[in-house]
Amino acid sequence: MDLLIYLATKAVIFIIFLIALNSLMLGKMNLWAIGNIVYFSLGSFITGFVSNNWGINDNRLYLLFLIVPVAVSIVSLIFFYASRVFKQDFFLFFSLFFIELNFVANKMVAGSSGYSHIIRPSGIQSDLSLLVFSVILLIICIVWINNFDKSRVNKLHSVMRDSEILAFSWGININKSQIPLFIASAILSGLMGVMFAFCTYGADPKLFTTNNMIILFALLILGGIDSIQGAVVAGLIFVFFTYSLESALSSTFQIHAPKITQIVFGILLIVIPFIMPKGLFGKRNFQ
Amino acid sequence: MIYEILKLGFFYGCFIGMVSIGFALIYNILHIVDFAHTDRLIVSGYVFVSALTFTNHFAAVILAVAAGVIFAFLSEWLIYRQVRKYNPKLLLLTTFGLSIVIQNVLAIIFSDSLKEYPFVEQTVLQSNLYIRELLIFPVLLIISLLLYYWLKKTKSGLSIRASISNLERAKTLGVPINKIYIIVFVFSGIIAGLGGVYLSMGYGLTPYSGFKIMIFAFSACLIAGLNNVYGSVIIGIIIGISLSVFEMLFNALSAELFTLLGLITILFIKPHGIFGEKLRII
Repeated sequence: MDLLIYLATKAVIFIIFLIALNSLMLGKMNLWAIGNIVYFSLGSFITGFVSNNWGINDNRLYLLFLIVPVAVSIVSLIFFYASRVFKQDFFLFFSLFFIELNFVANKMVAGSSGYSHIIRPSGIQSDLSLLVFSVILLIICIVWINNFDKSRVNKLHSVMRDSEILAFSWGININKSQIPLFIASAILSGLMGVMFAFCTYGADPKLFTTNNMIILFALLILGGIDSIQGAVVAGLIFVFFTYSLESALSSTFQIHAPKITQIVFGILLIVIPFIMPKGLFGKRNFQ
Repeated sequence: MIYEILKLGFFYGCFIGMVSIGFALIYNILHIVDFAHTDRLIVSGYVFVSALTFTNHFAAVILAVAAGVIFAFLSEWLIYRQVRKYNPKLLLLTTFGLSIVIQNVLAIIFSDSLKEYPFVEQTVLQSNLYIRELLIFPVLLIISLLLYYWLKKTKSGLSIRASISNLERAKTLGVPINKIYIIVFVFSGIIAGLGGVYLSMGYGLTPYSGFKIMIFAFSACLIAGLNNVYGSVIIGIIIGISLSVFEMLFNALSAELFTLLGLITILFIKPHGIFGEKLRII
């Protein structure tokens, strides 16, 4: 039961992270934002740093829900302007720079094994309470995204996504319009990083690598672009399928089980274009 | 000391420059970043080191290059070409998928730990240079000259340039596009093979070494301008020297950090590259 709660919490955290990526970055702005893992990792590492070095008490750890959004907003704003001229594969490649930079910086600050023994704030110290808290965040997130989808601003973003030239000719300031969404997605990712650190009691640089992010990205495409259901499916597959597969393989292949799981995901990436280019619940094809 | 650092940086830069030629070629023809290019290089490196256990150096180099060529050919023929037919937009993810598969298969076969060249390298006479160091620059020069001759003076080179310039028009004019793709991949496979040999001799291999090389090599292409194959060699050498100098001043991690920051800054200021035309979609 404990394991199930732990996995469910992890799944919910990843689902929110993927909603931030799918519904905001990919769905509204058509940005292949694998760099979102940087914000997630930033959230985890700030949590680890504060928890390990500042020695603040359990109640004050809630301050992380203020500190992380501020830090992540600043980083995302810098990244937004730095990457503004790049689109699609170049944006993705530019994001790789940031992932690598983040990986190196994390290793310099926290060492190659990262942080461990992270404490949880009072109120969400048990696994069950953390799960409940995560589910509440998920519901808030879904309601917000649904409302946003129905809003006029969303239509504006659809125009910008489909043709920036058309949007520009209408006098829409693309940068100004995209910044709030970009930062919102980053903040959501950063907060999930905090939750992830609380959930796993640690922040390991090896978890926030390009390969993992690409796998998540591929699962999103499998789930379907610009759909909440797609993010839910991707999050569930990432946590439960990975765990089940590694458990099933570990008796036979022992230490190689995680590598074989990665190979399975790699093959999935290769075959996705053949089996379902639009994904399970996708609103449109990958552009 | 300074001479030693600059020397190390220069040779590593030559290696980065050589890898970036393969990237630039594939990018110009396919219009995608082939993330598996450096993984093929790592495969060749492993083939070279493994072959040394039963054969001599010359045969091992031939085997490594052959592995690079075969692997590049198979990647294009079996995977990329098929994906292009279904959804070319997803080709980028396919290259990532291939990269993940290669890395993990290598990690299972050879383990995650560093695999080093099994012999002690000897310097040539009293020059303080190893054979691989003496060879890398001439090899890079030969590759560049061959590429120049091939692209500018041969019929297949003209077809490649036509395809790069306007793929659709080249198709309508009867340029055998698939054949062109194969030729480009075979050439990039040769480069990957030679790069793998150099990397395994000088620095050792892990299944995941390719990623970092990819970051530096492709950024050399970007900064030089994607249509400028020779410029990427120069930028590659500058990157190598910068890594080496920062490593001397601080440490390896800081060297990577500062070089990455430098590259990001340059790309921020000159997103089209220093010598390049506005080729990418921006």
